[in-house]
Amino acid sequence: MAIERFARFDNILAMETDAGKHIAFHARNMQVAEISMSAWRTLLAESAATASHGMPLNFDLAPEQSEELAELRLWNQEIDLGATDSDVAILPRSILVNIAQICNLKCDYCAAGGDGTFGEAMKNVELEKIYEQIRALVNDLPSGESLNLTFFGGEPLTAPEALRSLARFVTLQTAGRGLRVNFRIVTNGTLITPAIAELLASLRMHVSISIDAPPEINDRTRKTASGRGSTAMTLKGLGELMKVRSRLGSLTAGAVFGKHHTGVLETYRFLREFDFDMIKVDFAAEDCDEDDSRAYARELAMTADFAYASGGEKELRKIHLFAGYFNALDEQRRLNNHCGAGKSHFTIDGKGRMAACQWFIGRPNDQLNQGIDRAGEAMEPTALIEERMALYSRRQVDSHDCGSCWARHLCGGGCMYVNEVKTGSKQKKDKAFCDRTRNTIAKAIEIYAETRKHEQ
Amino acid sequence: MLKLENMSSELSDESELKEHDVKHIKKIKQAAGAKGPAKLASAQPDGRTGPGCVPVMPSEPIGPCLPGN
Repeated sequence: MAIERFARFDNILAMETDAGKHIAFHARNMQVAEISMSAWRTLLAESAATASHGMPLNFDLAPEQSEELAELRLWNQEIDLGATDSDVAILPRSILVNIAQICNLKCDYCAAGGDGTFGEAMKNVELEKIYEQIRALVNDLPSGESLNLTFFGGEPLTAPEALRSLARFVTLQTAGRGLRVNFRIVTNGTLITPAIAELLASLRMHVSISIDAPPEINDRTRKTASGRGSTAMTLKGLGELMKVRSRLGSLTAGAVFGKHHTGVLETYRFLREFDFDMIKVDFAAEDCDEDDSRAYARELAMTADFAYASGGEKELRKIHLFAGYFNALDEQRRLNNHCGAGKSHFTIDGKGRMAACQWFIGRPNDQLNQGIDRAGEAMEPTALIEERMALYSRRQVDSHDCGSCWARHLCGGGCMYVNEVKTGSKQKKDKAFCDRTRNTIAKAIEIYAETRKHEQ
Repeated sequence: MLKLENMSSELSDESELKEHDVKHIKKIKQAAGAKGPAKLASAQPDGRTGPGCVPVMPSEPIGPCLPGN
């Protein structure tokens, strides 16, 4: 399947597939519909008229088209009370901690300072300062909430004792308070021994293994400090995890694409042979990446078709982006934020300094707490800098000025880090990001219509 | 964008149309289909996570995406 053409009329986006199907999406009501050929033609005419005259065309339509136009206009104006806004409360429900700021690999595209250090190498982090900040954050969580704690780095498994200590601390902090804690880790997998696998299983860890592609490609960019490929080491670690698979929270593969690699389908074919619950396929934004971004988007659409053809919706949902879009469509939820950074998600570096997103670690202007650098006698290091917190308080679809973009409530407004990398401002959108995201969302809507149609 | 104050009459018109006259727009029933593995039900990333990828609540995007999508 492929999408051949699009037409847009205010809230309605319609698409024509190469199979001659016509699917429409109501951007505010989060509704998906099949439309007739004549309705499609009417939409095309409306779309063209709006583009050329700035106003929808009302006249010069054949009589049989006016019925379609009336239906389209009513649908466009409809307010479906079943569609709801999904906002993110200002509550720290996700905390990511750098338990090491060193890494045993040196990947070409590393976003953590180029070497996993975020510009400040730390093998032994200052756990007491981290504890202090976590204690301050967790104190705000009411009973019944879940807390996601992610071990991050650098490579977090260079510091298994810090991991063990932090897990114990968080368990004690939350005990008896009606809070549920999920432990997560993002690791390159190269340091997973039987003992480490047992540690992860004992914490019912949700494990994300970073691996981009089959060995011949992965080894080119994911290298050790001495320049050797790391794939064999990662697969050996993965083998250890498989022995404790049933006791892990979940197992995810995280693949990064970008200028170094756009072969999503090839990677997916390789990764699907392993028993992953989820496969993440992210694009690492860089300057002048427009061609690679388009190639990635095309590959991702082909991958979605392949996954759906080979295993139906269940297989497609293993690709994280599609699981998210399908969930939002199923529940008709308007996503108003692309992520929870600065609202529900916070990161803490090896010295207890807090930021909204892991990619803002090590940048003094993005620090959200007083921290060790700024705290004076009158100010606790854990105290938040309110004026900086306020920068994250608005809905991202508003602060990023998404306007009437048809995909805004499935995208949620885009990534602040990508914006900054590409445009110099967290709030100024990157066109390449928007294009590839719209492309992927359109593919998701196309397949969604196919799956749900079969249920009726 | 439409103004809410104009909606009430349009909504009633629209419901009549839905009942009797809609021929060209067939809304798809949007409800949960095949889900992933049961163990991910409470932990499945909600669309947007990358390496560093985060967390996950069933009904709300929480984690920041990584260098990318």
